[in-house]
Amino acid sequence: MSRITNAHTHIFTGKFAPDYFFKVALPKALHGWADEVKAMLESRGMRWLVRGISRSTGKSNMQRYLNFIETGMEESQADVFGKLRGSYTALGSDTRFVVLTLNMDYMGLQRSSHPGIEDQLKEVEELRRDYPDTVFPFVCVDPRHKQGQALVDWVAPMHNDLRFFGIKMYPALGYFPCDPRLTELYAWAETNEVPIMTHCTRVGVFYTGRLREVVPNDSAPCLDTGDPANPVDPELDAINKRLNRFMYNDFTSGKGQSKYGCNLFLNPRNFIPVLNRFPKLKICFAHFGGDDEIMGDPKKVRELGLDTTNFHTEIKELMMKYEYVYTDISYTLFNDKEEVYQPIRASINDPVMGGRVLFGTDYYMTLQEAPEVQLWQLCQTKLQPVLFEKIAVTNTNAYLRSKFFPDPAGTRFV
Amino acid sequence: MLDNPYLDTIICIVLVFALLSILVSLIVEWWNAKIKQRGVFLQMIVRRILRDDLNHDYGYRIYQHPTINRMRRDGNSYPYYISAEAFSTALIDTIAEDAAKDRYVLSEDGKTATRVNASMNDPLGVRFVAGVVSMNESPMKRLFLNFIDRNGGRQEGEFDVHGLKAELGRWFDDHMDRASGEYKLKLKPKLMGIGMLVAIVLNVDSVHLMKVFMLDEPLRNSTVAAAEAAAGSWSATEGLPDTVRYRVIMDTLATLPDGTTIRTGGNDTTDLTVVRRIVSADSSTAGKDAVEVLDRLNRMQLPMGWDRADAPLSWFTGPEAMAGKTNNPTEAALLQYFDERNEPGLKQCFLWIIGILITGFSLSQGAPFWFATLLKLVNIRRAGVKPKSTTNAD
Repeated sequence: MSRITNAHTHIFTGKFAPDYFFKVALPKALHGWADEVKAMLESRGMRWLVRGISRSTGKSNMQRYLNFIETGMEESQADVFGKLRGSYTALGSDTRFVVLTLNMDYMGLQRSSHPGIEDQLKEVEELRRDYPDTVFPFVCVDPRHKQGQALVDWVAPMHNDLRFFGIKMYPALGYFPCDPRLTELYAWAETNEVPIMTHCTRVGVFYTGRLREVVPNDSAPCLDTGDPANPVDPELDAINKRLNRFMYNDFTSGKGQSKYGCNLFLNPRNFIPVLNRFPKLKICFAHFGGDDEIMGDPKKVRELGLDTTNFHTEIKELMMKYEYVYTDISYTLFNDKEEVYQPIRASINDPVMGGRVLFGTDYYMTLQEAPEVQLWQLCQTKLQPVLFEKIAVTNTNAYLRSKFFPDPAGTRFV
Repeated sequence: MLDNPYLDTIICIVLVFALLSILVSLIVEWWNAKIKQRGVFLQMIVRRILRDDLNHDYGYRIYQHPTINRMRRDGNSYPYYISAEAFSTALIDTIAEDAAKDRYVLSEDGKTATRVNASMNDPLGVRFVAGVVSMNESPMKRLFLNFIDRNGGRQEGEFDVHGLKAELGRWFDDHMDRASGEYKLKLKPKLMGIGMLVAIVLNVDSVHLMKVFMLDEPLRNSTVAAAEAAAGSWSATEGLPDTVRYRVIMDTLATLPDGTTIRTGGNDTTDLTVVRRIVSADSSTAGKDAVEVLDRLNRMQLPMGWDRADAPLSWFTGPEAMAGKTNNPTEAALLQYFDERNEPGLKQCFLWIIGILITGFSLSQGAPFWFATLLKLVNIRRAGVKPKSTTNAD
């Protein structure tokens, strides 16, 4: 088998999360303690304790979760990457990794003392210097950090110099993908065939501030169609209807439940105005919507009662309609049920979208489910060599191909 | 020589506070070493002075620099000390690095991408200047530009990187001087907490101590003798580090006879055996020193420690009257006081809590404060009543 690429991994540590990060895990009444919880988890004593418990506990659920926390609490991204790479080299694989950075600097619009995205990128660049042929980082963008042409001026040299190979987006942290401040970036990415990766499940970290702070009007900020005669994309109406359902619920009442953010900002349909304007934009909707939605059991949807869209179905529809829309099976691959793998196999075999399903694991988030080696082997077993090679070699190379990096399969970095 | 029981009682109390404060300092230092507090604090200070929201968290980045990263004993600790030299080397390298971004250049056939870093061949000073110039406008950038201008300006060949290094070192040292004051301030709540803990664990009730010193003359006299010896050692070792001074004081006290008390029979007044056993389990120097302090307190026959027959445990186990067991009127007065205190009651309980709180708060003041106070009090005692002037007689 040719050299495989894991198209979805993370190595950022908890140090890059804001001080108030644990608002995502605490009930509203305890939000004031979020800083203390993070400081406690980052303390030497707690790390020692977690390690100790992690190694001595016999309960696998607990142990997995502690492994995940322990990895997130590593001192540097190089340490996390060392663990990831070790999982593959132990089995003799020279896998390449798409390393997705994450900008959490604006997830709550509060003051925080954590090192920012620039420091995270710098550390990844230094790691790439040590592993130029193994680490392929994506730079995480956020329209509140840089926008418009300034954003393009920021990301373009990174790609031109082959330091970064794509764009990472995480709208659940508080912005709409159709935000007009991203228009220039999309235009540049489409022209240069630069791949974009976006988180796309209802689970994950989310915006913890007030919705009004990021959506000052009753309408979602949305780029125009590029047609002066009809500047408003027809999908905006549907986006606003969805937004209004959130606006007048807990988001604005300040009673918490900010987890609705994943549903509101991340809905695959929020990308439709973008894809209508930039149909050749190479964008990957990660996780294929999530395993529960693949199984037709979107329990989060039922719990929230606000949004009945099935992310998995939506992603497939987008893939059928737009020929540069990709998906990956990261995280979702942990679920070994046939109800999950059968639709995945069907999608990979599909003549239209089969070339756009990617292999990725979502390390180290997946440590909550199983060790990396186990997931990788499970996926190979479930898909068999032909399909696995298709998603891990052929499709990922096609996805990574850009005007800056024209031959992902053949180029060696020295 | 001023022979005043009230002054002597205060001297005795101050000596007890001073010795227990050594114990508190040892426990705080031991705990800080366990949780690597000094390293964490230093890292916090370095990150604070180098934080630049408009550019990088340079403090975070210099901790990744090999000069400082290699100082760590393991992945779980930060260095306790960073020299000005190491700091300026790491900072200059880190900023110089920003001017030297990697580029990968594809070969003609696209099969190979080679790393190119043209500016890596430039002298360090040139790269540092370029790194600063490439920063976004910020107070930190202006500060660095001023450093550059003071060391020969931005012209190649004129820039004195050694001068810059020395200036950055001095800048760091200035911050560190302030940081050590801040560190002591940060320790204050911890000293208070540990002080309270020591007061409770050793059951050191200041109100009780004061009363016993007033009533028990032999105990007061033997404790005052120890206080005079300790004050003498403190005075003789001026200028030496506090830890050395504590050691000299403990050595001096070790040569003195044990304390004496008129209280016979009853309970062992200073039962610190359990605490001693726990502390002696730690084989570190701090653990050994703590055992020595506890032993000294034990030998002084001080009324502290937990005993079923003494308050506050006696309030639950039932007090045993002792005053009638002696014919010595002085001892009877002391035992009478003990009997009253051992009887359960709101007043006793209130006084015990107040006594513990006074001790806890006092111990947070630190041993140097108490030894300095002790020295002043002992000097007053030695001076006695000021002799009348002889001028008029002449």
